[in-house]
Amino acid sequence: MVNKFFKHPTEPIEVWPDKKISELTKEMLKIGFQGRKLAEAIDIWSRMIKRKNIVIWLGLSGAMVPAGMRKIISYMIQRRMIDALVSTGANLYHDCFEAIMGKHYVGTHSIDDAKLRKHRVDRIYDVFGNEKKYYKLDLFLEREFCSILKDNYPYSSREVLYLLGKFLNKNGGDKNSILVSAFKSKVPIFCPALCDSSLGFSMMFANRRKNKKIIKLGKKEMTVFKKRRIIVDELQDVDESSKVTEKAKQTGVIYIGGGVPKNFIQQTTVISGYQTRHDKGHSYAIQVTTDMPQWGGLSGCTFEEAQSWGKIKPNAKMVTCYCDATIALPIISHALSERFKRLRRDVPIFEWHSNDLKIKYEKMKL
Amino acid sequence: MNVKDFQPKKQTVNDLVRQMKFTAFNARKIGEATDILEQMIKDKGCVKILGLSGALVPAGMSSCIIDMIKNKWIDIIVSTGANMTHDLAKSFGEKFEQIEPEKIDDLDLRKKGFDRIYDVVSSTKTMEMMEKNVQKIFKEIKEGEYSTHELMNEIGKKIENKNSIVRIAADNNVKIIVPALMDSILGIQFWMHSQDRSIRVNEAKDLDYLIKLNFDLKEENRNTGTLILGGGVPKNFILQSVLVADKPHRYAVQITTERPEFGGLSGATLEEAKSWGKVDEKSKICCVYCDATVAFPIIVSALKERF
Repeated sequence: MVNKFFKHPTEPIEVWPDKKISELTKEMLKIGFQGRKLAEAIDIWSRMIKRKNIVIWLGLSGAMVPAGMRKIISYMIQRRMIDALVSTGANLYHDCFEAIMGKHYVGTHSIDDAKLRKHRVDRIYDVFGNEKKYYKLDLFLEREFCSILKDNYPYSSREVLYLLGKFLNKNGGDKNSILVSAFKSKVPIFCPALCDSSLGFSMMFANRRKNKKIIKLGKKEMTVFKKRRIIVDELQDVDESSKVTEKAKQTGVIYIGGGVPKNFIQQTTVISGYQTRHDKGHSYAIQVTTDMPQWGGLSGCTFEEAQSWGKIKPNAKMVTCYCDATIALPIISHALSERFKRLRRDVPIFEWHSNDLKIKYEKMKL
Repeated sequence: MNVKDFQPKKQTVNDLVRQMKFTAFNARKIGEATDILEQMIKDKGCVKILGLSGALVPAGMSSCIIDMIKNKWIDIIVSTGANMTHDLAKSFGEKFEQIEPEKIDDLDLRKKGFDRIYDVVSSTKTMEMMEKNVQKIFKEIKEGEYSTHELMNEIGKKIENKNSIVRIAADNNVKIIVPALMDSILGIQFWMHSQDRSIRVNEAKDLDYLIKLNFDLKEENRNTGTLILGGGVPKNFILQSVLVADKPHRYAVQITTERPEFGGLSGATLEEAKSWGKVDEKSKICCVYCDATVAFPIIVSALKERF
């Protein structure tokens, strides 16, 4: 009798030169621990891409742009390996910075931080940022970008970020910026905690500024100082994002880290569940994180726990890879790019109407 | 069972721990672990094993361990060599000084003659003093082949300082097994000493002792239980000791910050240990995910109130 536990032996990885990353990761399906999880993540992502009528969400947290992951994310957007993005404010701010203002620098994690402060160097673990240039970008956004925003209109963060992508594109921003490529590829970006970043506070400063306006009263001209009132409406974000999940035939999710983006995407299933009275859990789920479930926080919680909430379907294909995303993302993206040299996919096109969303699926060569 | 809101008030550690048991996450685990250890201590005839890994002695955990020994809550200690090295060094005057790890230059410490263990440092001189003293002790030990626990017992009998784990263990007939003795300064010193005399350590004799003990306990229908601080060699040694007699631990508590996902034994769950027969369905098991310097003193203090 063949023991059912001993059907699939592990296969030791052999080393030879010029092995492709996709070949290696395929071999990693037959090893142990997080190496296998990484390979499974690539496998599940591939299935998502091949699946018809699916909307693929990506949740992005952690300082991925300063760490050099920006072009990987924009590659995923341009080739439509993802369809909608939820990000922390910081990643989008840093993306904006790298698109038009400057670079981040290789630094070190063991250094006197008081000394860095004196030189106005901001540290992100082992990457250095130029604070003076950040300040320049803040001013630029406050003066130039905010001048194209309307007063007293409740923007969703998606609309603001679409306009920001358009603005960056017009001002010669790098085409491999996340915001620019999302604008061009019509991939919606949500940033539910927009105000928890320099993007948010630059917009707030625009509101503090008084704008000069000249009003004609008959023949007289009067100068009036008017305070600006830009509004970003979080409820609008919840409305729009939940409609994406609600209107999609099925959804897949990829979480890089956890935080607000993970919860925000997870909760869209709960909201559309209330709306439709059907379980709308995600059908595919990948998570790359270093957080642990044992502390009880949402960032580290398992997809099994999410199944108890109905956020993930009972028969979903899911995997969590416990790994620093700066290790996993480059490997995953290269393996996928090798696997999908030519890619035809039914890409969801989002048509945003005043109070509604329509999703059409269009065949595209990517 | 309902979660009960934690009530902040003037209270003893035991009251705090009892309250924690009705909260969630790892506070709850501290409550559960304390209860399991209470049952283990109350279980007459149960052989209780303490696993020590990580620099617990430099971190100031010695007295907690000594207290457990004196209270007869511990019968066997399985430790890393380093903890025993520091215990001996401490009994000869080694002191640990708090520092700020973020602000310290390690090369500077090297020049000034300090060794760093995360956020404490000790002078290399005290380690030299320990080396001299321990060589004197070795000279007084008869030639022959020793298990590590016999050797630790011989050393313990010759230590004067009553704040030493090794000494108090010898006084109370608690066996200290150091399976990777040679992986420490104490081991290096022993090796140096053994160059001139025919005195040897045989680790197999420790296994011999433990396996025989397990067969005896099996016949007498007595249990074993363990509290494992950290993981490493001590964890594996304590868990594997029951395999030969096929006599799973009845109680097992682990306090660790290590995680299961990377496949290592230190982080492996006690559920995984069930598949190996190291614990079984009757065992009371609990893993507290917490820095041992936080959880261990709380648990010991709570137990002290209960007995």
